[in-house]
Amino acid sequence: VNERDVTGRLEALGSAAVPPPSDELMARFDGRRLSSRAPEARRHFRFPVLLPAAAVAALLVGFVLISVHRDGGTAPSVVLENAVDASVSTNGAATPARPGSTIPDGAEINVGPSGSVTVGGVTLGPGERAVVRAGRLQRLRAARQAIAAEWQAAPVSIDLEAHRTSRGVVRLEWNASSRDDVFGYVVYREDRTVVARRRATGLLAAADRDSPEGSRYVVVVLDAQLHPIARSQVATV
Amino acid sequence: VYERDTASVEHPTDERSLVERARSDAEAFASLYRAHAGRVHAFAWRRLGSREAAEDVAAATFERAWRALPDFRWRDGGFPAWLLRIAANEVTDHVRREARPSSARGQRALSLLVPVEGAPADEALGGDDPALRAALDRIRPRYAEALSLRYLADLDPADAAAALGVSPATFAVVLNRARQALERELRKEEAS
Repeated sequence: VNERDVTGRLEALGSAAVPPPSDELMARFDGRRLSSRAPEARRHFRFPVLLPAAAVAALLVGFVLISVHRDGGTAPSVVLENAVDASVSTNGAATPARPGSTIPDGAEINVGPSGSVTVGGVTLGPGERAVVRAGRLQRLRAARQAIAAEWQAAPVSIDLEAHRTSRGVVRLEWNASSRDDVFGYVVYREDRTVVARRRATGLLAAADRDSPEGSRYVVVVLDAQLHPIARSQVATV
Repeated sequence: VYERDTASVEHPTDERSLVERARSDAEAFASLYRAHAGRVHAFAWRRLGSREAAEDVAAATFERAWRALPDFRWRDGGFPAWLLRIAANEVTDHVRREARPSSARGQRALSLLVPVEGAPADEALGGDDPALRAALDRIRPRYAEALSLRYLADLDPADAAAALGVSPATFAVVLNRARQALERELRKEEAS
């Protein structure tokens, strides 16, 4: 079978002789039978009336939706009752969180190493993250766990010095990160215990009083979203 | 062989005036029917291979045409192409119905169609090709309609394109694909 065969067979079938329609079929549509079911005359006015009416209705609905949205009557948001050492990220832009400010739906709240945020009786502790959804706070995965899992991938760019004093206390000191987007520092012991949290502009030192012999430490640099962006080398005492 | 009754439609202008009158005049529609019933009936018979199916399709085509005539607009191909498009749709519906005999009700209806002993058989169709019709049933309905309008209804490409509601260029593409699809189906049948 090829295309020529197909065309030839179609043409043969199309020119095949066909017997005439039966008398019964030919008598089926005579004027007398059809006259009882004449088609209705078209109502040309339907479209000119219905289309503008539908357009006006759609415009009204649109205006109502826009005005409701502008009034903010149904736009969910939260008001910060308390905010210390925290930031709010909206559409990728981070701003400091202030008590009394209104946070829109979808914004993310990041609490710093020494801060806290209270909304609707819910308090976020240091290092915690939450997102505003439907006018309520929804805690995100604990920042502490996230940082602990991700810090090793951060580049080593600060220097950590650690030494044990005569009283068994480990003193930790580090230099400031040269990056512009530093939000704070978290000092970890190798068992993932958070030894200290420090703001970017605060004291860059900490002490660990319950330190076993041979403990290892690292300082992780966080940005406003509490993502590790740099770290120190691991120091052992 | 059925000869088309052209007594009442000798010129395109006559047909046009007849169609305009038929929008509201049953007698005028009956004249159109007498002029075109043979062509629609022959088209359906060639496509379906059965007198009974051809007469059912022809009757259904003119019933739909009678109801839809007020909406008819003159385009390329005119009234015959419009009528044959309706007939092609009716053929497609018929093929679909025939392909769904699984319900109990459908089975009972089919059992009534079994030829009765002694009933007159369909006349032999010259150039009959049941395998070709069966292959047309299996390809996409749009392809089957394009091939049917072009070859079985004997519309020229421009009128067939108008009947299918596409441009001549698009129709050429559809027709080419339809022929290829039909060729594949026929090859499959040969191989089996």
